Amino acid sequence: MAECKNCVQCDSTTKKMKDFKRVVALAGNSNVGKSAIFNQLTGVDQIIGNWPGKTVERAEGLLHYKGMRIKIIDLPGIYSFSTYSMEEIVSRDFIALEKPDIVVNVIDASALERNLFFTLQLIELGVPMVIALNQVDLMEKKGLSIDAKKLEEILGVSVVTTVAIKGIGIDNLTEKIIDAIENKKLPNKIKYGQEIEQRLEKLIAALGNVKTGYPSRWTAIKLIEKDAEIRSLFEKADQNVPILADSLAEEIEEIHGEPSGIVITGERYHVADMIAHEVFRDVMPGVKKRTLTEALDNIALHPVLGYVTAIMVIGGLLVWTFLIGARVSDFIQDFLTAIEQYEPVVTGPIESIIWNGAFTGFVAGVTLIIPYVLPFYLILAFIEDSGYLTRISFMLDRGMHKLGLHGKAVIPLILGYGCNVPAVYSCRIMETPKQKTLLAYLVTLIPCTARTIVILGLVATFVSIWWGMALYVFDILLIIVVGRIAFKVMPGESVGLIIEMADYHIPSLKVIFKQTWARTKALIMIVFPAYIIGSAVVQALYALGVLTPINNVLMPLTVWWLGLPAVSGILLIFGIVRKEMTLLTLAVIFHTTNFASIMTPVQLIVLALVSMIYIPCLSNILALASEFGWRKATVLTIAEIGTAIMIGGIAFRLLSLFM
Amino acid sequence: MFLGTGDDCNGATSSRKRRTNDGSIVPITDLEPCEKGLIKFLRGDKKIVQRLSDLGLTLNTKVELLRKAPMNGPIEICIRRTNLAIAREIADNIFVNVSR
Repeated sequence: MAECKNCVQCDSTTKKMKDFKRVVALAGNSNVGKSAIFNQLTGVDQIIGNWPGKTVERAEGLLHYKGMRIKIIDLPGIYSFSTYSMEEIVSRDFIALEKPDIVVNVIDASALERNLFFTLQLIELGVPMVIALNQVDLMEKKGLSIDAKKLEEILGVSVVTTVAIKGIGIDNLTEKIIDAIENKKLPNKIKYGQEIEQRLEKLIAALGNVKTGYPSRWTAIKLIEKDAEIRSLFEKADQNVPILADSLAEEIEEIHGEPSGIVITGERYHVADMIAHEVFRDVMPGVKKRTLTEALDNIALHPVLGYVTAIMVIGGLLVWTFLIGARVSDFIQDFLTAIEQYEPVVTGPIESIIWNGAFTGFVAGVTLIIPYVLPFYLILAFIEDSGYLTRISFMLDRGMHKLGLHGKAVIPLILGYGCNVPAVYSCRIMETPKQKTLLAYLVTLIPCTARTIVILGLVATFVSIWWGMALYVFDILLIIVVGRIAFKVMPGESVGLIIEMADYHIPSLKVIFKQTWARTKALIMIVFPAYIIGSAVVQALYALGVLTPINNVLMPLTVWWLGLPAVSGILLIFGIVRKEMTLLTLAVIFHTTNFASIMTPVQLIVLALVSMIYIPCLSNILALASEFGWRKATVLTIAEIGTAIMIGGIAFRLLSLFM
Repeated sequence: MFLGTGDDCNGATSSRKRRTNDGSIVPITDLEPCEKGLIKFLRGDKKIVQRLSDLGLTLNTKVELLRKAPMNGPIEICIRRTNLAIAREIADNIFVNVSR
């Protein structure tokens, strides 16, 4: 559909259209399938998952259709255009101010009322739109049916039924999007109660010629709702407007006995309920069966079994990574050494040194990424798509309170086991700045796959698997302690959990593989070259004798305080780029991957411990800086280096007593 | 119109003996799993109240308590065909009129 398969005349048209880009925004509630539709339209593999708040950054992609180049923008899922979260403000400003050609409002057919509540707000914004009534298959399973034609009549815009995940209805949707771009058909005006409409009219008249960029009806509604952002636009321009708005809002509050914002929300829901009532047909309440979601939730949310399940799932994810990964890794390593001996060399011509370094890097990449990262991402994708993450949030909410967070915080923490970088971005699902920052700090302490590899490569392999596990447990305890302290020290407010518990989906294999591939691909693109170039460079530098002075400077820290070999200085510096580089550098410098021959068990444990804590990797620091600014990123980085060195030194002294 | 999905409570409610009579207004957290009520008012932080309204907790809307997490954890409710998990301290400020 998105490709120009049969498009012979493409050349001339495309050239004409080349710089004439149309913009289509996908908007709707969380978890209704916007990203699935986005993927279908653009062919881009935007990660999709079954938990609200997954799309934190708007994604952009291109749809080529009959010579037209259409930019598709996937906005984060929101329930309303209020100012509850940043996503709501960002989305409404995008739609109102950047004016996409049309908005595709994606609706979850089984939760029609709440989705229409959002549709009504898009209508208030007065944007041309198309409605994608998504997940109709799930709705039908629930014994519901919607008259799409009737909905079309009521709203005055095209309504297309889709099952985005299976690609059903996408062709039709594409056609309707093109139609809408050409016709710019606006939805029908929807009126609220008399007492509100009269006052809106008065207010619209008073807005006069103050230019805000927002449509006047929408602006008036927001002023009545006492929306702080919109009010502030008028405070300088025309003092009279907010004053009038307040008095009108007060009149409405007097009539209803509720805050004006709540009254307007109630009005929208009233209209949404009426529309839903009109368009639902063949409702068969009698046929309601026990759904999969109900059956699973009886276990997943059970007071006892729920915790057992949560521990089994998270534990299983890690154990699977450890066990399966180690086997596969050994196998690949044996296979590779069978075809070429790759003992690192540091003498001889510089080309062979570099070549050897590069090959070591390649082997490390193949033996580390494929066996450990792939199975982890595979299972993670399965858990994400199933909808189970919100259940863990529900069960662990109480525990998270102790850290000043709430249940949703579990999601970034679990994602962090894969890679801290996306996990830091996903902290946006928290509501207040304090909670976001606090959670991001904790996420950077979660041992990601890179750190897992270090723990495995140094400790699990050469000391014992139990010491590897112990490091994991220690890390979790550290997170709890640090979280407690940070919660007490940091200023700011915390709010409680409110999250939608979406139905479970049986994840489709195609989606899981695509998602795993998208994540692994990103890693391979960055990590493989980094490994190969990095280890070639390290080997060359080492052969040239450049590294020794650096090691000497750091000796008091590494040798005296941490009890490590002098060479660790350089390991830890390279580890900043990526944590696996510590392992790699070690292999390159000592010409062996049998680390037990060069370090004592205590040294291996201390090195793994310090690597685990001392700093998030470079890309993680960048992610923190882009989310929270350089000041906070720097503070965190320094704090973590300090913590790691302190704990490392103490561990060295304690472990030496009995090992 | 409100079908109530996601519950496992068919017919269970009517057999239960209630402490409160119909007509009394109680926090939703006082309901037992599978009991239904009508939203009467919300209290608390303005932003939270607006958020709950945006999610469909508007006046006189039918709501069903599905379950309570142990140790004062969140509750799960079904409202307007969607299931929401809400922290206990927020839910304590949601007041309902118990119905059968």
